[in-house]
Amino acid sequence: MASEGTTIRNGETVVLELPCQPEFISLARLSVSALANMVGFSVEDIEDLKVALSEACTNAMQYGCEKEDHYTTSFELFNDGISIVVSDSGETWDCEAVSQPSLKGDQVGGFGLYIIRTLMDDMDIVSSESGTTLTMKKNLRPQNGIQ
Amino acid sequence: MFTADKLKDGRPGVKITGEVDVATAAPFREALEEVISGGDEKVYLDLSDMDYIDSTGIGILIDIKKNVMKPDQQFVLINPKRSIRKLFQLTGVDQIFPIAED
Repeated sequence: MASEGTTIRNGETVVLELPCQPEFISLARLSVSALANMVGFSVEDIEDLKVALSEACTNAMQYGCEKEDHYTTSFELFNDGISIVVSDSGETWDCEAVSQPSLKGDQVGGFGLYIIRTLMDDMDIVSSESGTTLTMKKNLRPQNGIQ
Repeated sequence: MFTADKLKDGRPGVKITGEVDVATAAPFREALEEVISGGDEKVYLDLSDMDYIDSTGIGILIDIKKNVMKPDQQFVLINPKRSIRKLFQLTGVDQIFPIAED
């Protein structure tokens, strides 16, 4: 359900190619903030999307930038939510090994996938020889958007 | 944007402004290490103007507590925004450091 005054074609897609430099992750956050606002997400949900996307971009930078100097974020806008794909061409890595961190203060890193999985309604990650693709989805909640 | 400034009320600590992510991790760590080097038992982190922190920043907080601080030293996290407090709860940071409203 798009915000008042905004007309979004269901399935509209925006693609953003980001350099493998940490300074550009804030650009991803700005982008998802604007796009999620167009879809009609609440401020709280937009914050969740910003955090989740940043974690995915950080992972892409850390694990997916050996072969290429960029990675891709793709946003698909729907009437009832948003789907985001972050893909890189890096080496294969064991995603599941870092997906459930300890929360007792004895672990310094490895929170990224756990955070994404917790904040999003759906998350899937596939890592192969051709790279890693992380797909996350968040649905509009009933109180979001213009009724 | 990221800045770290001394607290104006004279307490040992630092006021963090802006975003903490992989791009600002180094100055964030530097600011924290500098403020705990004074040896104060309680070090206050004013987060009221911190707009964003990701798992990189959270990892730095935990790493400093675990590997740099003296055993009797502690960060006190002051006035984090709701979205940041939510992230602290998700990652267990709220179990490691006291969070205070000021």
